[in-house]
Amino acid sequence: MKYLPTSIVEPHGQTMPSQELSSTNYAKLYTSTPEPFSNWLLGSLQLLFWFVFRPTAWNKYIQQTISCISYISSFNNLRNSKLLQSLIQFYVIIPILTNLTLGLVLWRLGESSQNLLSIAVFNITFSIAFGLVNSMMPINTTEDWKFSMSFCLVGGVIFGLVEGVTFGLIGGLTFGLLFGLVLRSLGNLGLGLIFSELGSLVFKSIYSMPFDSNFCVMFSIAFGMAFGVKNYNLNLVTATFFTLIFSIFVAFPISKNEGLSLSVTPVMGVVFFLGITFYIWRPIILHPLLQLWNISLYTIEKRRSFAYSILLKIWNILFGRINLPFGKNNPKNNCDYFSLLHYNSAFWDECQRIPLYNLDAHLLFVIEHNPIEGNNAITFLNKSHQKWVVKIGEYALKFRNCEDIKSISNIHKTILIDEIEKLTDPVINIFIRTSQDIDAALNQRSNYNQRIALNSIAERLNGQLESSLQNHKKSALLFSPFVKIWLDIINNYVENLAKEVEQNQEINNPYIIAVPLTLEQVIFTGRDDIGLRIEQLILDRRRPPLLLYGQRRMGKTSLLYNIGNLLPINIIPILVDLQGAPASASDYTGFLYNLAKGMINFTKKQSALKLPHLTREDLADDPFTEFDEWLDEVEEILAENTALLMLDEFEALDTAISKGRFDEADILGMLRHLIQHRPKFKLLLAGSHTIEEYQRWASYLINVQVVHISYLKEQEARQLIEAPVQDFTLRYEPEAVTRVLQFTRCHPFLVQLLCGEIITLKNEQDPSIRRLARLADVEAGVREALKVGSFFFADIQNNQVDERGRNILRFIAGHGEGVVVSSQAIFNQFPNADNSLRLLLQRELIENVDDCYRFQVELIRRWFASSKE
Amino acid sequence: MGRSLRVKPEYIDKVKSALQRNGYPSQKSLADDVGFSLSTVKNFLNGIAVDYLNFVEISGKLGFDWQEIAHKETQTTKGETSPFITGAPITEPRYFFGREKELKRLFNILKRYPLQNAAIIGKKRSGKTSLLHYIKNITTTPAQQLRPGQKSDWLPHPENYQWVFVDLQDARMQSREGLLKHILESLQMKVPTPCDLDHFMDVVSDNLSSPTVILLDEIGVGLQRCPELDDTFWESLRSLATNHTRGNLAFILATPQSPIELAKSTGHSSPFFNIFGYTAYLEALTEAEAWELIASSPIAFSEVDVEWILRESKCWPLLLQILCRERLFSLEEGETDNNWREEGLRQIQPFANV
Repeated sequence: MKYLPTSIVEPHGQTMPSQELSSTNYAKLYTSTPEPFSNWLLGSLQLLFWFVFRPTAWNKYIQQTISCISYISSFNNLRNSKLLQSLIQFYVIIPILTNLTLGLVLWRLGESSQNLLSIAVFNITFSIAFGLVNSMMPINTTEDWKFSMSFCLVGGVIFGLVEGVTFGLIGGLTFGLLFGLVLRSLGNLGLGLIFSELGSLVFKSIYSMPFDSNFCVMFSIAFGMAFGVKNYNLNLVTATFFTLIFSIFVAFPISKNEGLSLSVTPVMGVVFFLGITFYIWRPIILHPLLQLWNISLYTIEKRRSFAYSILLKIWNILFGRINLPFGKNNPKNNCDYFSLLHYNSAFWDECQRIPLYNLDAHLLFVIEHNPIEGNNAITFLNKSHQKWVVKIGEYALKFRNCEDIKSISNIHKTILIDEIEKLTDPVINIFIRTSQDIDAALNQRSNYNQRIALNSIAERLNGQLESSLQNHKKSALLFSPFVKIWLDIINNYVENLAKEVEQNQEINNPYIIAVPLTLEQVIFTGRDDIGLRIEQLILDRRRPPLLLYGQRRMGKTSLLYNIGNLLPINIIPILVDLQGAPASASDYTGFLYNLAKGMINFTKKQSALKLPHLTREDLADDPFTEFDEWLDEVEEILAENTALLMLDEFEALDTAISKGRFDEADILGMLRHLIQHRPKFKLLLAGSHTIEEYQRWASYLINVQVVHISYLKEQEARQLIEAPVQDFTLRYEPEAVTRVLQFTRCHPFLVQLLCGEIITLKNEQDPSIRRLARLADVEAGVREALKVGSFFFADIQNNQVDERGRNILRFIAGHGEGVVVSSQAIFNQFPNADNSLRLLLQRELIENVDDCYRFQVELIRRWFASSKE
Repeated sequence: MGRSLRVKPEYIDKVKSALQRNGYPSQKSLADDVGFSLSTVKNFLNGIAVDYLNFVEISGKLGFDWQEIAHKETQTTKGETSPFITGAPITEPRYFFGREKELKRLFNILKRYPLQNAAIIGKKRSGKTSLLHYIKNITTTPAQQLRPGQKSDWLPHPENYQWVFVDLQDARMQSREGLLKHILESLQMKVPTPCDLDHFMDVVSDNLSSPTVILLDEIGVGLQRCPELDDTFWESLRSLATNHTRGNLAFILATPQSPIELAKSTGHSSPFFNIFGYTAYLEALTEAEAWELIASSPIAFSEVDVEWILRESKCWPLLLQILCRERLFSLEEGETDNNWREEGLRQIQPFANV
């Protein structure tokens, strides 16, 4: 077959195979047919090295050279520098080199310099002559070439060594020519028998030169090695067979013809055998040394030490074949990572049949850091005697090549079931099971379930690795980096899932509307100033009763629940809602019982005080006296503390009195008595009416100090809007916050109502814009708030103002947002509007600005603007 | 479910005597009050089958639980497999469709402390009662009794919740004692003697420790017709919810009245309705929800029919149910003409104004 070996004919270094897209072409490193160095001297040394360690490369190179010759088939084409180089290397440089080395050794051993010279001269002329003959002859079979070139190398050395001076230049020349001619014409090695017969005859007749025993032995070695390198995969049986053939048909006739002693034949046989089996015994002898070398390499690589960078540098400077960065190697970047693995003897000593210790470790280390290189190494090893490491390497590569969770989940599908059953390594089994588990986990529909499943898989994987490590399983140690890679991928995925959830998660609505906030709700905001004022009034020696006055839904009850946090510790707040059981009681026993019960329950919840027990039966006989005595006990328990008795919704009690269920003198008299004669008790009423509106209360409770609770301060409202709770996930544009403030005037209920609607609207929007509230969202929220909060507005419309008031409100509302309406205009429309206006002012619905009126709260104006008569 | 119901034979006498008890001097006066023809009322009183809706309404007027006095036989014999329910409120969650947005809001305010109160406002026949039943049942209905994919995990620990359904049209609920007793019994609490507001508050505030929702259906009736259920009564309930149950008690009411009509208070203290911070208005279903309802038919409807049903019903749940029921009925009977459309239109005629 005639073909053009690209690596030789093409000018060196001009083109690169297409595979070399990455900065390093690993296929060139991990190949059984490497390219020789371009440097002639180094190339020759390399060829010599190949001859000993890499017979495949040697044979291949010869084959390429030959096919090149046959392609060129004429001396004219010797201008082809590559071919010329090959020939010169084979026939000139290698012999010179080997002889120089040999000469040095012999010289050290005391050989005379004359001998040395003649050896060298013979050797070189032999080679050149041999080479010339070979080159001139038309060539048919490459097999012969392989043999003859090998023979040239070995023979040149060995004959030179043996023959010494006597042979000299002429001998070398003719011998070389002869051998060349004979070998060329006979061609086939199988005809070695005839050759040897003929050869000996020819030698004898021409030079009458006797074949002494030394010569015969050396010839046998040379013949054996040349034969061996060509058939380096011989097994021992075949080798023995060939040895027998050689002994019978070559060694015996020669020794017989030459009249040598009979013992020469077996010696020739033995040395032939040694030559032919050179590639069998040489690796065994060298194994310990190579092992030492390999382990050192692995150690250096693992430590990434100085030696490592030096080795890389040498490689780069000398051969410049691999584009590597020096020094720092970033293992994270595959392309930049470069290992020492190819120095391992597994990759240059192809005859080594004994498993190389730690080759698996080194291979997996490289796979971990550079799977591309690892893949090339595995491909190479698959054709070598170190095939045992391939399986584990392939698994490692599979695991390493998983870029994402999907590829991990697919791993188990790429491995056949019977293969899984055959798996003996528990660690690889862990990987496969993990892959199956992940596959199942990814089939979970809900993101949440996926996360739970994956988390437990990651945990299990980690646990299994740990336990395998503790059991000192070697494979566990080898595979632990891959476990880490997988764990990283899984954890990353879970993290992303969590992020996605967070992104898609709806904003939690923290607002609580229309229900008082107790201590458990963190959303209670502000009101420090009111707390301060109440504290001052409590300390007032005149002991005035207090009235917490504020419109409905302004947060009175919430303040009362939370006032403990605003007051000094020696003031014990006790809250009782009069609207419930007390006002609904059918008699005084029921009223006082419920009052006491409310006090007991509240102190139990909010303070360390434990008030004495009181039952209906205790009160039944003489309710007021019993209650009074109970209060005595309470005062004792209070010790140095002051109790702030807060009666919420005091209007409910008034209703009960109005209906005749209770007598005002009894109830209100009791309260007055409490104020005047029990200094440890302070009384605070809370309601949405002033005392003046309740004449009978005014006559019993003198000097009531009003604490007004109204809109939040702007700062407090801003906090309620933008940061009602910790880690609130909705942000507002500044103008949106301002707009909320304009709409609500910091009314605590309305702020929460509106912001709650904004949150609902935002939650319906795409997650990408969900977390930022804009002006438009506020406007949309207002429309919803008016509907959702309609009971609040309906209460104002129905219960807080009269017919005329409603009409005035609609009239003012009709003028638009923020517009002031002059009192003149109102009186023109509604004569005798005085009382109604006063009521509206009192309800804090409108405000007076320079004899003009306008709504206090824009949202309430909107309600009235759209309300019909 | 069938289309009509009749009074159980053993109840016929009781039904007849209930006429006088409920202040109807004659059958005619009852017919005038409910707005049905005299013959319908007569049929009802004599144990002859009348339309579901009429049956339920008349039962309510006479202070009966319609389920109690309805003759069961008619229920079982008539196409029980039909998923379309047109007369009675839907009590099985699998037959309830739509209202996703409202459900989300409602459960959002019920799933954290303090429980907040909500009002559901919608016209007659807009599905308020069905929605209340659905809220009550959906979170604890086993998955196998739901449609595939029907959301039921609205609450984190639904088993902790207690639900009390109060239909204020029910005559027994129209007295203080009756109503309070019903609530206490539903909460499995001891009924005190006397069972007045005072003692009721005592029992509930002492014993209520898990989230509890009281569903008040037709509260307008309670406000307008029941003198015993006055401001004091409602204010006490308000106080119970806001101050005495540690945020465990909430009310959800349903009414056709607007808040303006409802929130009329005669007292000066904060009225009951002031605690309803969230109001939901029931409108027609969304088209997607209507599609889902139609698609639940055991025999698939043609696209033309679906379009027609959507158009004629305007996605109102009751009209959807009636038209679907008619279509399914005709398909089951193997009818090939379009008579079912005429019948359907005739059936929805009385509700066309809703």
